[in-house]
Amino acid sequence: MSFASTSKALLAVALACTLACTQAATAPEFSDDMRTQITQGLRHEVARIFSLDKDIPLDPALRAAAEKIAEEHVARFDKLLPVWLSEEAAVESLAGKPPSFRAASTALLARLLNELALWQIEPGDAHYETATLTALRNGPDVCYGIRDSLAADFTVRILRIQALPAAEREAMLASERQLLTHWGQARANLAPWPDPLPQQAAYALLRRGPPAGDHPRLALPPGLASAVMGKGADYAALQPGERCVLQYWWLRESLRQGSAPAAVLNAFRYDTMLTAIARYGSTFDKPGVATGKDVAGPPPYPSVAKFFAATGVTTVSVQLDRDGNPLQASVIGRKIQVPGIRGVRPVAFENAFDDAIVKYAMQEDRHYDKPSGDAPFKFQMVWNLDDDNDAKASKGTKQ
Amino acid sequence: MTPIPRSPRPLLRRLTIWALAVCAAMPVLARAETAALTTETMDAFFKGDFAALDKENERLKQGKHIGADGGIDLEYFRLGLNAVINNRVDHREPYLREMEALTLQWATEHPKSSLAHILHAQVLEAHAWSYRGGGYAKDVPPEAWADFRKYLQRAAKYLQDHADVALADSSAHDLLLDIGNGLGWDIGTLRTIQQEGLKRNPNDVMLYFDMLNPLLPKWQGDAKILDQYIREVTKQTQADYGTGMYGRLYALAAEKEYGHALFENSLADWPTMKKSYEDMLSRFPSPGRLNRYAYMACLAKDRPTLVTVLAQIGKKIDASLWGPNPERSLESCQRWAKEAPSETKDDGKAHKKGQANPASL
Repeated sequence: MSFASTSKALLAVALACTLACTQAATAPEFSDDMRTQITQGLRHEVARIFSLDKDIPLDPALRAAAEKIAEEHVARFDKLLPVWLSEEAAVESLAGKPPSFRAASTALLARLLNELALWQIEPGDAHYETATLTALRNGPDVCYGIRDSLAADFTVRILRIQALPAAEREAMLASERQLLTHWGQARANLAPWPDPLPQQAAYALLRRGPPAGDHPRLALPPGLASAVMGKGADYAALQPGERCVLQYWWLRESLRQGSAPAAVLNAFRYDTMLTAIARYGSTFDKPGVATGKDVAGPPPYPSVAKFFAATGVTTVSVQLDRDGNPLQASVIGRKIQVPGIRGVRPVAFENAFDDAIVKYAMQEDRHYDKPSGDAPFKFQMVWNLDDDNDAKASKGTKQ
Repeated sequence: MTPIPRSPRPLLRRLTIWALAVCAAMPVLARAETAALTTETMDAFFKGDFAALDKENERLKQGKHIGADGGIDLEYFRLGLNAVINNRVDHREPYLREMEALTLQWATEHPKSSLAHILHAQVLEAHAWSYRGGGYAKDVPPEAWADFRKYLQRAAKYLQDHADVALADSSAHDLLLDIGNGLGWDIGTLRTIQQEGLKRNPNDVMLYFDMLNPLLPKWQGDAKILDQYIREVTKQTQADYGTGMYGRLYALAAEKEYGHALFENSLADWPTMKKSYEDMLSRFPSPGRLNRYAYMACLAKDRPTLVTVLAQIGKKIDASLWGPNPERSLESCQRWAKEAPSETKDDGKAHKKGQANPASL
């Protein structure tokens, strides 16, 4: 799976806006040029995500049908964008501020990312869910061979449909069309984040060693076995393609274990969802450098979260040994706010603080007052930014 | 072979590069560069795409499938499989145990697939060699010898238990020859295995190469037995390779045992070998084999042949094919080729009795 610099293109829209905002910030309303710059930039990205790579071997009839859906959706997005832009101007106005180009462009980018993420985790009707699970379980892994995997949201769904019997296609495409009409609307009944996260559950099983009589499980494909078993790589150290293989493997293993299909599918969707961190995390923060060494100090504010002015509260659960040393930490609650995202969960940003807070909780030399019994230690971290949005000090606050 | 073969695959490429280091140590018979089939096989195997591997094996296990350079596709397919099984990792034991579980899972899911059973036995054999290592026997701890034999016996028993499916495929016989070599089976048994394999697939010339090992003097054979075998194989394969197998098998004998003393300690004959290379090259033009031919001509002190073949190679010099210290071998041979004939005392000996020292095939 190629994760080359594809994500940077979408981000460039917001960065370009940031550079331009100095002259635009004091303007009473968006100029036509600025309006055009924002909408064209975002539209370009949506068009890119909804284009199918010509080198991907798709059945011509399926490709044609998919391209028609994509065309309809880009047209739908064209109509949404001016509405979104006006809403941002109104929000700024209500706050007594002049329309800020920087704030509006970032907010709209956040909103787009969130719509993409919502679309990825929203379930379809019962038939769609069953067929999707069948395709994921029996079809080929879509982990390699996609040129621009960070913009392959639409492509992987169509490849999934191709893995199904031809008789299923019409109904599946109709469901895809239907799900896309939900963009810009509130989503009802979205399932929560899986707990534990799929990768945590997968690694807990893998840490028991290769499959054996007393702990049977599906074997890993050799490429993943090489990384996990042969090199001892943890999840963070896996390449994107390896993570993808692990996600498919865990879906099949969960089903083998008898987990509920709906829960398995939900876990897979969250696991593979392209969040803001997934798309831009490595662009802002180099992996592994975010942990502060000062145990007493607050955790560093993730740069992606800072860029999008994401704030909120994360709740962490820490398993401790008998001496109060951390064994494992996981995020069990996320209440996040992001400018530009209203009326829906900001799912694309809900895990923006996960990595920082888990590293903080697991920091070497950290010691906890052990609660009674085997109950894990729980705490919340509040993530705030100064008004100027350029605060140098980290604002994570332990409560 | 793979569903989406033409796009960038950085992870697989990385794994392939690692695994190719293993390939480099294997007796690639004609090509220095990795064959596309080997790379595709590795890609499919690393991905766990058993369906693609099985389909390819079914295609290759019958029929000739001889490439333009004279190598058989089955060989390059097996190289890809071996490279994944012998993938270089930090923690070999858990990797091999995972591979054991995977291949057993495949064999259970596809009980009629010869490849599934063969792969499982092959992983057991690789597990055996992980205990033995590639060093001198004196450096192997006694406990490791026991594990080595235990895993080889498991591999043999597995093939025996699934003989109805596995032994319908000459790849199983190819593997059994390796296993039998490790367990010290007698020449008669090994010859029977080879003959059974050739009955399944007469075009599987790798069986001829694998049978050479036990016939070496350092194992169970001697120079006479070896020469008799090589001449016999050369006759048997004449229709496809002319006298080509003579040179190829003796080159392998040099690599496995004789080294610089091939023509002194074996019954190899340079003029016959030279004719063998000419024969092979006329049927299967190959820059790789030309490089090997030139290298051997140099070792045989056959300057006229060396000069001629170097001219034929032109810019297609591949230093990797010039023996164990290839760059230096190439340099010295090229220098010698440019010297005046009177400057060297060895001239003129080559056509009487070759002094070649081929380190490759």
